[in-house]
Amino acid sequence: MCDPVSAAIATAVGTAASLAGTAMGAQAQQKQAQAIASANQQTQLAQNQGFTQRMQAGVAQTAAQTAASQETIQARNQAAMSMRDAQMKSLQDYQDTINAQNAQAERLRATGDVAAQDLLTQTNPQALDQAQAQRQAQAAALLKENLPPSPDATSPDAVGRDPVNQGALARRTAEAATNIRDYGSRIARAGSYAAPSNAINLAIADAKYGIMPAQQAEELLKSGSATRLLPSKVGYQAATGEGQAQDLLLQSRGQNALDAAGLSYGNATSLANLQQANADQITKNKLAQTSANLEAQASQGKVIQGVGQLGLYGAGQYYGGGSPLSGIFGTGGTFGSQGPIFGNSQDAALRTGGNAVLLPT
Amino acid sequence: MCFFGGSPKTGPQMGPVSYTNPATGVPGQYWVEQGVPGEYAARGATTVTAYQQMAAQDLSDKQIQAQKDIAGQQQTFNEQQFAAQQAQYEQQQRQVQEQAQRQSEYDTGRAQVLAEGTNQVNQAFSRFSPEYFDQFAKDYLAKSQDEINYQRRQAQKDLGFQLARQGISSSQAGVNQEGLIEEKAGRATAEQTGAAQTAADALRTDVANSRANLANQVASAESIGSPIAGSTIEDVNTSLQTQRNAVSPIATSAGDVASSLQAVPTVSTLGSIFSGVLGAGGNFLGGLQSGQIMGQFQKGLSGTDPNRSSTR
Repeated sequence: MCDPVSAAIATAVGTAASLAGTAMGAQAQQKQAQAIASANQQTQLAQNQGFTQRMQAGVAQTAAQTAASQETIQARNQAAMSMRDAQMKSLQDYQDTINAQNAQAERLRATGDVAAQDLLTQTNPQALDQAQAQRQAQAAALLKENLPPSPDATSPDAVGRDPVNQGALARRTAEAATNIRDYGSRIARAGSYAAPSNAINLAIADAKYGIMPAQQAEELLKSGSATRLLPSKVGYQAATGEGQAQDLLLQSRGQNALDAAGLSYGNATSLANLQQANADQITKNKLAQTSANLEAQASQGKVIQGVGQLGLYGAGQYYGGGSPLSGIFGTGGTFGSQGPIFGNSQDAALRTGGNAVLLPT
Repeated sequence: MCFFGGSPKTGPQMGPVSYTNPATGVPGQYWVEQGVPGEYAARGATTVTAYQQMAAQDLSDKQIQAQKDIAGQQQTFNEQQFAAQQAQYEQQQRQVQEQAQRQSEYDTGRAQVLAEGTNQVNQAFSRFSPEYFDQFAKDYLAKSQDEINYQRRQAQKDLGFQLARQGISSSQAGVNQEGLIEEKAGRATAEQTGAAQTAADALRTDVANSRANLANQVASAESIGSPIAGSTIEDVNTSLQTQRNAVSPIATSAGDVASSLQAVPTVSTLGSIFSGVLGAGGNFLGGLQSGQIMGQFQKGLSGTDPNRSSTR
C-alpha cells in the first residue's frame, strides 16, 4: 500500500470523496431551504383557506341572521298591527254599546222629564189657583142645578093658591135662593182650599205612575249593562292576549333562526379551524421529517468527506516521507489528539442519540 | 440513499381495519391510517385528518339538524298552544256575545211584559176620566137631592096640614115657614155639594192609589227572577213566560178593582132636615091659634063678630 501508485490513488479518491461529501452537504442544505419555503407556503395557503372559510361562514351568518331578523320584525309588525286593529275594534264596540245604552237611557230620562214637567205644570201657582177656582165653580154649578124651583100654580104648597100668598111666597123663595147661593158660595170657598193639595197629590201620583215603566226599564238597562259590555271587554283582552302570544311565537321562531345561523357559523368556523390546524400540523410534520432526512444526508456527506480527507492525509504523509499510517492510528496520533472527525456540535448531538435539530433557513 | 442501513420509515402508519355495515350486515376490510374508525373507513376516510374532518362535519350536521328539530318542535308546540288559545278566546267571545244578545232579548222581553201589564191596568182605569168624576159628583148630589126633595115635600105637606088645621093656610106666617123650608132645603143642597166634591176627590184618590198599587204589583211580579238572562234562549223564554204568568193575574184583576171603584155613590143619611122648621112652625101656629082663640073670646065678650076673617 505504500507505493507511489497507491498514494496517487489515495490522493485521487480522497479528493473525489471529499468533494462528493461537500456536495452532498450543500445539496442537503439547499433541499432543507426548499422544504422550509414549501412548508411556509403551505401554511400560508392553509391559513388563507381557513380565513376564507371563516369569512364565508361569517357572511352567511350575517345574511341569514339579517334575513331572519327582517322576517321576524315584519311578521311581528303585522301581528302587532292586527292586535291593535282588534283592540281598537273592541274599544269602538265598547263605546258603541255605551252610546246605545246612553241613548236608551236618554229616551227613558226624557219620559221622566216629561212627567216631571207635567208635574211642575200641574202644581205651579197658576194651576193650583185654577184648580181652586174650578172647584169653586163646579160647586156653584152643582148648586145652581139644584136650587129650589119657584112655586108654580100647581105646586102643592102649604100656602094655597091665593095670588097674594103666591106672590109673597115667590118673594120669600127668591130671598131663600139668594140666601142659599150665599151659603153655597161660602161652602164652596171653604171647600176649595182643599183643591190645591188634592191637585198636588194627584199630580204626584200621576207622575209616579207615569215614570214607573221608564224607571223599571232603566233598572233593566242598568242590570244588564255589564253583560252587554262584556263582549267588548273580552274582545279587547282576547286581542291583547292573542297578539302577545303571536308575538312570543314569532320571537321564538326568529330566535331559533338566529340560533341556527349562529350554530352554522360556529360549526363552519370550527371545521375551518380544524382543517387549518390539520394542514399546519401536516406541514410541520412533513417539514420535520424532511429536515431529519436532509440532516442524515448531510451527515453522510460529511462521513464521505472525512474519508476523503483521511485518504488525502495518508497520501500527504507518503509524499512527505513519513510513515504513512503510524502517524494516523498511533498513540498520540491524529485520531488521539484531534477532536471529532464528523462535523460540528450538532453532529455530536446526533451521535450521542439526541434529536435532530433543524437547520437554519 | 441507503448509506448506513437505509432511510427511516416515514409517513402515516397504515393498517387494516374491519367494519360491518349494520344496515346491510356486509363486512368489509379497509387499509387506512391507524386511528381511523371502521365506520369512517367504510365511508372513504383513509387518513386520520380526513376522518376528523368528516367526523366534525357529521357532528356539525347533527347539531344543526338537532337544532332544527328542536326549533321545529318548539314551533309546533307554540302553534298548538296559540291555536288552543285562539280557540279559547273565540269560545269565550262567542259565549259572552250570545249572553249579551240573550240579555238584551231578556231585558226587552221583561220591559214588554211590564208594558203589557201596565197597558192592561191603563185600559182598566181608562174609564176614570175627569168627566167621570164630574158625573160622580152630580150623581152623588142628585142622590142627596132626591132625599132632600123627599123630605121637603113631606115638610111642605106637614106644614100645609098644620096651617089648614089652624085655618091660616093663606097667612104670612105660612109663607114664611114655606120659605124657611125652601131655604133649609137649599142649604142642605149646598152642604151636599161640598160633600159630593169631597166624595169625588176621595174616589179620585182611591182610583189613583189603586192604579198605583196595581202598577207596583205588576212591577214587583215582573222583577221576579234573575236579573241576568239564562244560559240558553229557551231559559230566557221560560223566565219571560214565568214573569208573564205572574203579571197576568194582576193585570186581569185590574178590571175587577176598577169595577169595584165604579160603584154607585153612597150618600150619608141626611137625617131630618126640616124638623126644626116644622117644630117651630107648630109651636108658632099653636101659639097663634091660642092667641086667636083668646082674642076672639075677648072680642066675643066685648061684642065683636067672631066670624070676621083675619088678615094675618
